[in-house]
Amino acid sequence: MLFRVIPMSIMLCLSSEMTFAKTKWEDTSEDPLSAAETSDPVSITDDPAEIIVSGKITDENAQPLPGVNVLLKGTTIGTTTDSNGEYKLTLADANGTLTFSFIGYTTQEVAIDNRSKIDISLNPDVVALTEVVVTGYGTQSKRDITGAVASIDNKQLLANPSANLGQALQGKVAGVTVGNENSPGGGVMVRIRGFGTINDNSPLYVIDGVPTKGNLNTLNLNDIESMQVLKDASAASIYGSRAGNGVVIVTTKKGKAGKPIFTYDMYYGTQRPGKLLDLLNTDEYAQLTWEARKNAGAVGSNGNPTHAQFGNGATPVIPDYIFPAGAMEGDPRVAQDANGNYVNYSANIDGADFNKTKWLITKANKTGTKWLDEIFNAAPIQNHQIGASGGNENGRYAVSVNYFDQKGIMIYTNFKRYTLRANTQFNINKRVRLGENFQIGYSERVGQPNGNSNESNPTSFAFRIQPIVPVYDVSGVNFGGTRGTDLDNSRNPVGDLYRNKDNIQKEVRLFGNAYAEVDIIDNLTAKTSFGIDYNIYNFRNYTIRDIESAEARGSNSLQTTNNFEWTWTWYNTLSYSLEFGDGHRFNFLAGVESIKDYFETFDASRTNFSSDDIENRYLSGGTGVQTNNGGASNWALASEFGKVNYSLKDKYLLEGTIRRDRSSRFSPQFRSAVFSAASAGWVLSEESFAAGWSTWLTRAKLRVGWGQTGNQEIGNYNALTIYATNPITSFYDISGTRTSAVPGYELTQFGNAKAKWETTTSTNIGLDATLLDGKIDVALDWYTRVTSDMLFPVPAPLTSGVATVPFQNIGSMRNRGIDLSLGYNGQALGNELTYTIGGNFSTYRNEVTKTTGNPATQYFGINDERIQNFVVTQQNYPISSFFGYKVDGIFQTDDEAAAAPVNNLGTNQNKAGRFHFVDVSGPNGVPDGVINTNDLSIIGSPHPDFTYGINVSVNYKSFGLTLFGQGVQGNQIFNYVKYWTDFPTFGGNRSTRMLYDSWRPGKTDAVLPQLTSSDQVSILPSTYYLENGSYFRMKNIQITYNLPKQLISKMGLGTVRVYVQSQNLFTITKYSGMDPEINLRSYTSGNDRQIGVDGGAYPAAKQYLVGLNLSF
Amino acid sequence: MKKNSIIITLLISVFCGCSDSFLDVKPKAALSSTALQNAKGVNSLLIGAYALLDGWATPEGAYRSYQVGADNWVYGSVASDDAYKGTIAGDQPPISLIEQGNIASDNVYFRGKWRGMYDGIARTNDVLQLLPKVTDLSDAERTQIVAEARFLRGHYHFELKKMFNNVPYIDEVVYDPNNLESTKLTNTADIWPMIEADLKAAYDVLPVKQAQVGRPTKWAAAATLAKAQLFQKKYPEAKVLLEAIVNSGQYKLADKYHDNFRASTNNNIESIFEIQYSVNDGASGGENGNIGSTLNYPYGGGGVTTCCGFFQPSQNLVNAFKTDAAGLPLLDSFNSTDLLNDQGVESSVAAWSAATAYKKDAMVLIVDAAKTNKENLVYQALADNTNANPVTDAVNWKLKWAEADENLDPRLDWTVGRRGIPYLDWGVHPGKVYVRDQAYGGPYSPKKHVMYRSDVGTNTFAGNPRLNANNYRIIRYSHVLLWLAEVEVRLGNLENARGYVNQIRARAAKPEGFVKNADGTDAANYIIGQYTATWTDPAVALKAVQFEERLEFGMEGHRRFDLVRWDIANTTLNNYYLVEGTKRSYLKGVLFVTNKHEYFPIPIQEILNSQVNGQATLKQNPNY
Repeated sequence: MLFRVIPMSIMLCLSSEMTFAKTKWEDTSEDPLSAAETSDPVSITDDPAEIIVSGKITDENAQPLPGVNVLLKGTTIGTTTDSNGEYKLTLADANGTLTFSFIGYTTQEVAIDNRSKIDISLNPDVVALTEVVVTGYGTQSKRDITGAVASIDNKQLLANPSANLGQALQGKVAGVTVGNENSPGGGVMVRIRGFGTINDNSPLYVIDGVPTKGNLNTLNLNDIESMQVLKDASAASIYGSRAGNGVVIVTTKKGKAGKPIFTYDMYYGTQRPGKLLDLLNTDEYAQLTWEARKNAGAVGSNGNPTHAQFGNGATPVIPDYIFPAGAMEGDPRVAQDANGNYVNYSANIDGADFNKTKWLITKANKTGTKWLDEIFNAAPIQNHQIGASGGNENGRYAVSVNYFDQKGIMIYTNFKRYTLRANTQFNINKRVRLGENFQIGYSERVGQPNGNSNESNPTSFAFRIQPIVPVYDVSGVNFGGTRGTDLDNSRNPVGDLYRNKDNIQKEVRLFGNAYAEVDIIDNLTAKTSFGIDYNIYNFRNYTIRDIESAEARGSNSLQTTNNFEWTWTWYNTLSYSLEFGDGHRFNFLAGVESIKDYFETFDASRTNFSSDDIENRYLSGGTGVQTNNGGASNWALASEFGKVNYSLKDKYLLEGTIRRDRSSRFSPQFRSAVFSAASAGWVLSEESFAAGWSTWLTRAKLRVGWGQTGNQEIGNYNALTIYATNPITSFYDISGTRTSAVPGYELTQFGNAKAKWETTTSTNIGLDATLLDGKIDVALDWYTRVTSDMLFPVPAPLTSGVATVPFQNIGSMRNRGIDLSLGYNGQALGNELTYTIGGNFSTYRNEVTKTTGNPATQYFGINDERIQNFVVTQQNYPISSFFGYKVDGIFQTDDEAAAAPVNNLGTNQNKAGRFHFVDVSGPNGVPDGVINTNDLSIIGSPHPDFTYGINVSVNYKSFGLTLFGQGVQGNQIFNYVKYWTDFPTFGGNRSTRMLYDSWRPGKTDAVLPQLTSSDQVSILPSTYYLENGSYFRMKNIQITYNLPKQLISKMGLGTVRVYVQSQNLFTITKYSGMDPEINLRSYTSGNDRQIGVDGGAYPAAKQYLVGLNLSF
Repeated sequence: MKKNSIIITLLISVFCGCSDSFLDVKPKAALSSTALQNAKGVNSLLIGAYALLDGWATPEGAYRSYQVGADNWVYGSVASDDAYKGTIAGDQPPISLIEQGNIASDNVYFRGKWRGMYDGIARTNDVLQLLPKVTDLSDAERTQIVAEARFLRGHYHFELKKMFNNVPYIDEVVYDPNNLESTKLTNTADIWPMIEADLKAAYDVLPVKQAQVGRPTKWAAAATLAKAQLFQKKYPEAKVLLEAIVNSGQYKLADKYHDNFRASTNNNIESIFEIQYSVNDGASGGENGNIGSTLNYPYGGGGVTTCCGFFQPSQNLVNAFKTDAAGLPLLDSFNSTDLLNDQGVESSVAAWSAATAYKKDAMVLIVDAAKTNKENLVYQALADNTNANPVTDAVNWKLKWAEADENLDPRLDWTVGRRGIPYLDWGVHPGKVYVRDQAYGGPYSPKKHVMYRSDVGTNTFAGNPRLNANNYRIIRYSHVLLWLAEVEVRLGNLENARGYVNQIRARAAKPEGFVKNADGTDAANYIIGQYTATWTDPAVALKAVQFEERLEFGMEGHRRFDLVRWDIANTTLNNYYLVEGTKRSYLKGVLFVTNKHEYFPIPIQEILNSQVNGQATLKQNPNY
């Protein structure tokens, strides 16, 4: 890692020295003596026609511009400006024209007109800075674009502090859906225009020309100059086989010629948990337990429930101690000595006397522990970025270092990242340019044990643990837990998090490219770029015994994982532009690209560590069972592509692209595929008939595009049938030794040599318009995306055995939608107040149009939950629809229940107080008067009717106000948390809803069935779990203040901007869970068949920040 | 010019793109079928086929191991009158659904069993397909491999047959791993002939002894084949095979009944075919131990383990072990009263003290020195301010629990963990604290598969003692004897049958095999005798044999399958639900439906996945 840093600093030194050397030379030239020494003797002859022209070049802010090229037009005579922006040129006469050129600024030509002093102020090249967008393998003027491309600048990206660039896209771009896991450094989901396939829907990211599909957490968002989202195939098709889900092009900040600019940007703030769940206190819990057991008849001989903690009385009694179970003060087991120490306290859970005469003595929390409050707390977040950039016409640099540190609102979770970026560009000569963009990032993450949306993570344990359990036992040091009888099996979530706090996932990532460009002849440029993405991952996951838990671990253990992965991407392009005749403009691009990837993993584990000391948590510290695993994988992609743009009078625009991809992931005969696209634009505002509209229509462009893209996310060896060995699944103790097993082999993967490319064909019709002299901007797109030969690991009949099933080309899927973005730029108070109001709106309709051809084929998304599958993908429905029974209220009387269809899901279901399940269907497709599995049907959808974002920005003098809100409307959430909190499942805590809104005789507005501890039918997946997931969230409110120039220039500063900001200040939603922003359950690939399920997701935090931007 | 040509050459080479070899990648740490085409390879595949005997296949979703445990505890025992699911209501609801007769085709458990067995079958077919291509094997070795593979294939199909009845038979001829449509066969044909053919082929070839105890012998094949014939009521055929096993002289009943249920006596003289479990063998999670039973241990109490409280013996099963004065089971009246248990009694009951005035419902512990066993007794106060001696004051006190009292078959305390009786070498079962939710699952704990404390560290997995190497004896000599008894009853040879049953009872009656207290006395009042009277009534004889099988093989996963093949599942189970429903409220109203519940439903997802051209090839079982 270090050796990478050194060359960069050398480059920096070089470039600044070059500037220095030049300045020096210019300075000495002013000395008449040395000038005489170095000048051509002929030139000092007294020629009256020879003149000297000098002057000063400044930028738009009247700051001197060093490094500006000054050239006598039509000659090679010229110079560059010095550090004060000054130049001096000796010319033969005063009749020529001087050309002043500087990267990023509009070139100016000025006739000398016998002047000896010419001062010029250069203006930024507006087209270059704002109107050019980076598209596939090059840049394009925004006005020439014919595909659906959305552009976001870094200001917008940085408006919301986030760890991940995907996260920063949320709500900013019409048609882009973003979800995230909320935990620091957690996963992010980005979906462009719905869900195009039933396997992996992540877009392709191309960062400075280097494509990646991987985790983006290690990339520093602050280094990004701009992002372009290529939404439709006509724009994305140039990336062919990997562009099926859209492409996000990321360009990092480049240096600009000029004197060095140093920047320091920081923010610091606090994050606070929002709404948590309404759960029961100890009294309420006991009350619910009693009522539920009595209703179920689970009572002892005296007609009362029996409970180790709450006794055997007519009403429950809260004990003083929960371990020993149900003990009261005065009980000899909880005797204290004179010093107040418990004489029978022992933490040795393996001792023979443990739980007999010794206990982890634990008091009851009589009021009730609020476990969610215990694990969610205010936490700081901070970000610091120091940047330096500058250079001149021949060499430019941008370097930055960044430190980002976010503690999670969940205690002991955090994410830290350190990055160093160095981007440089050199003009070797007029025709050759070199450059590189590199970032080294190092991150550390402590996540929640067992990950997001998992029944055994701390979030889930916080509602699965009874309120009577205290955080700590009487020792005040050891955790309180469920050891005492009748406390169920939850672990102490505070204990879990505390014990996990040193399990740090460490990652080093090297990401970047080096490139060279040669102008072979005028307008013909060759470019080569070599990019590398290198990742090292290390995780030592140490598990401490949870001695206080009912199901305590048998031993401590350690698993160490080391992975590394490299991907290199090498592409070469030739581009040629041509203008002729009356406004004909052509751009040609041809290129080849090859990508190679290799991944290797190694992990090992041991058990039984003599000490949990942090210095002992290495494999060699363990004395127990040792295991290890290792493996690797690789893939490669080779491609050729071409693109042509044609513009006639800037009015009629055409673009065509073609790409051939060959992927190692398919068998040779299906390896190759061609993806093509075409699009056209018509700038109708340029037409003569539009001339009369110019009062209101500034510019309008109609776009039509069609194209194809592909998907190759099918694993690396899909074509091959593979055998492997594994102690878990293929070893057998054939000799009866009891402690050793003979290795065997098994078929682990079925191959499908016939798989071919999945193709997404998309059509886009769009309109870009600017109205009222730039006051209003509109971009409207209608699209349809059809995915055919969809790749899916079709479940194989188990009669063929168990092995990884290969992806097969099946079915098709369609997305249709509209993306709309609107912007209004206004001014008021005599232009002192400027404001912009932006909004975006998007909607998509997803439908699986074909699976196997049989409409009854169902692909279930979740098969590891405690209730049967409730997310299904089926023909004629959207991907990942909710599946279950329909509940039509609760029977109020036994008579009403008796009249309803017989419920065969369980005994005694048809009576007052139980759910009324709807008789949807029988075996023949029509209702049959019986409730059984035939009545399972699609009951809801996680897909929203529409999503929207609203952005308001107001500037008044030195003050600025930004408001950004984002919302989702019309989706449903399957609130799986209710399995734990609303039904008699495990013995954890319950919702207040379950206690107060369950049916009781006469309670006609009940939402839950009668409390019955043995009811195993009401918990079945049903419409009861579904909730309206709509929300509007105020994502950002920010007030900025720019310090007055007079003040800061005294301090030697360029600009100083301070701001205060609040994130997620409020959320409007009816959702009863902690957070309505529920997307994927897991953020690894292939999880798009289980969208919108809340399994105890990490909630978004409210943030309050102060920030500072400095430049000098 | 020269410079230009260099540039052009460079450009051409760059733009020609990559050759196809660039795109050739190979999987890592994996082999192709060609690489396995040798003696070592085919033997490795055969081990892979054995590896599924323990039920554990590739994990897919949670809870897999419990669905495919070799001992069929869910399907054979919980789904019968032997056991409850146990633990708490909300844990593993799919088992509750099976237990409560809500048997539906989408229950993940059925698909789990289906998956495990067909995976085993596929692995045997992988062996049989590869074998002809292997050249470095002798004919004898080849024959032996075929025989073992066919034995396993027969075994796996047998498991499916008894579970689902209508299942397709997959052999190496139809199976093609490169064509996932190849095994989409119909399930309408009876596969007993194919099962018999596989087992017969194994029987004809396998040796009477194997160097490695995990491999089936000729007699293992004979016993499995005989069992298959019993399921088909082919009594004369079964008799021949079973008698051959007896006459081989290779097996005898172990002196101690419990030697069939402990790791240190794995593969003993009584064992005919065992599922081999191993621990600390390189499997990271102890998966080669008896992982299918990993939930079935006491829940708390600082004793055996801390999880998970499943598989609690039923009161009905416990009652079956009561004996009369002659030590014979109460064939008809066994369930009319319950053996006294500690339901509702906390583990920590304070000793009675005359100085205390007890409130109503208070419980006290008292030792009755008058009893031979100096029994621990728990009494419950029937009124407030009671302080009389509970033993003598029947007005104010009611006996809640007595440690040892009635006449019992000694096998009870090897089959069921109950309060007051030593729980192997873990100390005396403390009652309620061993049970997760006594109100729900009753007072008992499972025992047969549980490891001894002395096994911990050697025969248990280091990370979790619930995974242990206590083998599951799927067929042992006692099976052979009792099956012979069944056969003889069916063939009218009642006295022969009585002889076989008495052999079993004689072993059970050996005092050295009784559960003992720490002081060496019997843990309970064990009274067991042989049938001394001549058997004359075939119906009574049959009932006695069947009852004996229940006692001998309780909690071993056979019961429901036996009830079905004996054609008494309907009456037995419906009687059970009727009575047991008064003790376990969730069993109230449960019904065994004739012509439906004899077999479990074909997993619905497998019917859907069996489609060819949109038509399912698998047909659901009747009335599901």
